[in-house]
Amino acid sequence: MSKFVDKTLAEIVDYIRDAVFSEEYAKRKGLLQAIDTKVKFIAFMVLITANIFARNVYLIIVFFSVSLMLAALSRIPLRSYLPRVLLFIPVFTGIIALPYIFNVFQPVEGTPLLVLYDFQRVIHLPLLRPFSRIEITREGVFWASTFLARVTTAVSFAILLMLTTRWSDLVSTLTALRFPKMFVLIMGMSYRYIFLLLDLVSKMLLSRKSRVIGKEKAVKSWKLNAGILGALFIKSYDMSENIYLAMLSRGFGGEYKNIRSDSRPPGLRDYIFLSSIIGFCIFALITEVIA
Amino acid sequence: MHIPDGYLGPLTSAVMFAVMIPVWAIAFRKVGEQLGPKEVPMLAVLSAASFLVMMFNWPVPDGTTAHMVGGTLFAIILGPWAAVIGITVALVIQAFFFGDGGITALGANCFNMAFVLPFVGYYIYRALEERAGKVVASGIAAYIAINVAAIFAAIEFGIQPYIAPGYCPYGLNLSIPAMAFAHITTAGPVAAVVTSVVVGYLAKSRPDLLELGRKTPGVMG
Repeated sequence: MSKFVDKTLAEIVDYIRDAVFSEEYAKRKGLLQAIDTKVKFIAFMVLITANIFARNVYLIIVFFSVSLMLAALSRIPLRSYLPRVLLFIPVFTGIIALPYIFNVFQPVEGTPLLVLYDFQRVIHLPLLRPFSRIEITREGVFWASTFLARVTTAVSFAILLMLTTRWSDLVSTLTALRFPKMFVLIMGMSYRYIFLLLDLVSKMLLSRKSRVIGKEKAVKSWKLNAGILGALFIKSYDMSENIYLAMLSRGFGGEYKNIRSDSRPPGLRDYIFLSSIIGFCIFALITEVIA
Repeated sequence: MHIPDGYLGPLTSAVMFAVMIPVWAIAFRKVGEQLGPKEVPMLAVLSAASFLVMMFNWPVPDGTTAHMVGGTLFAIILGPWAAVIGITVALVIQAFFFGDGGITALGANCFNMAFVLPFVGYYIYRALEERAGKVVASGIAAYIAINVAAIFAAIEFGIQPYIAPGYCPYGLNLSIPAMAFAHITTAGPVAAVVTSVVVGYLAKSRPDLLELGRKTPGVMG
């Protein structure tokens, strides 16, 4: 358990460090960086939604190629873009989807691709359809790959949007798109707290580790972890009080003003970009309906 | 419990958003009325904490993922309506930055984890608090709440084979047992222990924090 916690923490720290680092891409001069953030946000929502309507795996691959193309046009090297897209979520999704390639988890009999085991008789198990063989089916593999492709594509768009947008621009875009002020305020603050809390937790865990010799018994280890969690809570509460006072003393009256408020109206280039994205999505979905 | 993009058909995704929009509207109004600007940083901190505990997740074959949410704890400290907003924020950041939980599935994910979970947890806690004591009550509340939320998630994607072929293929016969098993045996106990331990620690060192949620009751109407 503690290994799992350590590993996950290390992964999150790495990823977040990367995410901060990635503002580097948001500052580059490329296609997506030049597009107005509001327009870009809407365009990506359109792409992600259209991708969900796509059921044909080839069409999904076309969507994925669009994300790769946009990344290339935005000067994001594939070797740093692809690992972000492929490392974490598709692996998880793969595990979730894996059972479906076997006939026993499918609602109807499929075309067998590979028979793994033949029981020579019908097996009855609770929850499952009666079966006599365990086999990998064509339908199962087809569905699992379609699903995996769709998730990967959706993640690739989300990550591309984040990579090419500065956090402060995104926050002001949410304000401009009339998201509730309180939502934007809390989102802006908790984004920063995540980094801070993460830092606190890793330090607390490290300091405990450095004072513990040998293996801890489960109950004892839970009690120690509990102390860490409780202390973390109280620390963050005290911190939030201090932050409130700091905000108050700087004139906070319940409203969030962004320093980088983006008041520039979208230009011709932005509209061309948005309409080509929407046009592409409509075209793609029409071909899907016809096919 | 994060449902990925492409697990729910377009119709279900749309319906879940339609359900959540009034919930969000009420939550923003209630929280605006009941919590002062002083509680805003606290909300943000709890939201960040919820984000972090949700990152410790493991995949459930035939289902989605299992992890604790911190929703019950959130609801006990700041009230369930504040939890709706705070956990929604955490889920939005996760969906956009980590690709964890789909963007089109945000309505469904928020319904399960930011609405059902804190409300179930909050009311069970309030019902048991007097008789069982804060620590035990919060543990039981967290355990039941996460399981109820997981079952809701399982129902949402388990009905897909019947209404939207081509999306989640696992029917209710597989999705509910898979999610229930993972949450009853792993995520549930984790949530129960962590919640009761934190509540116990707070009751001992900062009992005033546990009274915040009561001052700002989330009672509907």
